[in-house]
Amino acid sequence: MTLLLALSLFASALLSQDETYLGQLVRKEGKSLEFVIRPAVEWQSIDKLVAKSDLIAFATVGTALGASITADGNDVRTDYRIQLKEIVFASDTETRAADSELTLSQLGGTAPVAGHTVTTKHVPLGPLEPGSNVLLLLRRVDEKYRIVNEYFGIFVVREGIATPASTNAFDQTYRSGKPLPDVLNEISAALAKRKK
Amino acid sequence: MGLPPKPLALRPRSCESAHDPLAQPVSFERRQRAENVKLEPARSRGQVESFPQADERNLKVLKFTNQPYDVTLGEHTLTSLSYASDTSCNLTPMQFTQDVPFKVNVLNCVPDFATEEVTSGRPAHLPAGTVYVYTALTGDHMSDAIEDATNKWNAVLGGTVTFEPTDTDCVSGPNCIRITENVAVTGGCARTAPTTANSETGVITGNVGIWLRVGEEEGWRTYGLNTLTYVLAHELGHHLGLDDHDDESDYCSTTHSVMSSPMLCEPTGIIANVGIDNWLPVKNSSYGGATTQTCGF
Repeated sequence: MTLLLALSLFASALLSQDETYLGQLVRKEGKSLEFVIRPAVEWQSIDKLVAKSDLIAFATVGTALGASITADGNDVRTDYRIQLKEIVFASDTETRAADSELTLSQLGGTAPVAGHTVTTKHVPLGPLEPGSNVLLLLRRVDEKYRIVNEYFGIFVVREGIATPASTNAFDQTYRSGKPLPDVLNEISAALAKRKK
Repeated sequence: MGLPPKPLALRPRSCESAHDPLAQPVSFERRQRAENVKLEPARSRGQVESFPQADERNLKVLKFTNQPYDVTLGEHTLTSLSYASDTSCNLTPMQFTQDVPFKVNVLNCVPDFATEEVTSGRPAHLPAGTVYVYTALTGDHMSDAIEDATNKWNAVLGGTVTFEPTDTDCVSGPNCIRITENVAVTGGCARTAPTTANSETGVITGNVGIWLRVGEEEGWRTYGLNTLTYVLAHELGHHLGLDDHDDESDYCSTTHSVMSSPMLCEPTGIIANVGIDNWLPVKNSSYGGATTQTCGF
């Protein structure tokens, strides 16, 4: 009996250690939960985005690989396979080449937890659309990549126009898209500033 | 402007008899006759960007680009460079084409309650009564910002919800807002912590939190008093069930309205200039998506 009690306490201790904030909510409610995340996002500019980029590239969005609760336990990330097509900029430590693949980890998605699921939907940027052609500004985190400033370093490229994929907070002049050459010129100018 | 003319018949929604801000409209003509509307000069300018297909849920606020909202109740003649969409103000039906000035009659407004929520029911919002606001964070304008933000909300909430800053940790529950810094805040300056709510009423049942950005070069400690006040007020507004302002730009800047534009309505029903001193009015209203007669809850 004592042994059972000890095992039980040990198990609950382990459980509490592993418990995440979202996991706690799901366990408490005993059902799958969905959260709409409305972060107070800030005005963005190409300069700001480029300054934080490790890799800037044209790419095609591939399939979603799966989602999981983030390490801090407060959110969900979904991984996507990304097919690079053309590198615009790579930092000194960046080794990716054109025609290679990488994994992009985006905020939001549906992850399993405690026999249920937890979903986070981030208002500024919805799920990526597989097959879409994009211009990505990425920062590397371990072996994966994240969109710079989470929502803003991604442009949908269609018929020579680059349009921010995020519905929020981007330079006014970009709201309805810009010709790709103009965007690339601005990126080049921002990169020049960054080198200084 | 390269946009083609987009004729549109706006269908107004009535706030007067609605028990839910998202409820179906009643007869607008009847509503219009009941109003003794004074003609007011148009005070708004802007540029047409789009004119999405109107439906009741999209009629949120008169929207003008490239400048702050500046519309009073009553009839306005707007230039072709203005557009009205996405509004919760009652509008007269009208035909709109890009190159023709058009008239719009703003009868009243309601707050823009969030449309996507934790629950499938009404927007998640705090329970009525006293809600304590606690943080263990010190310095860098924090206590002043909490005081300022909560005072301003209290001034317009009319006692429906009363925010009360406290130095004692209220620990948890829907009547306790804990402000913390959190590395989960990325791509923005702050956010509300996920919480749970009653699926029918929308009343929050779980713990309530505001997370401030930390761990980056522009964490919350770099915010000035006004910015921090604005950011906290904005997140408190989300916990009241309200949506972001509509210009989809910067939610961390004091140059924008605190929440959606009907927040700018004064108790008389007038939409005032944007600014940190313009807050949600609550005249003739009840809380949580119930009856609204002028602007406010």
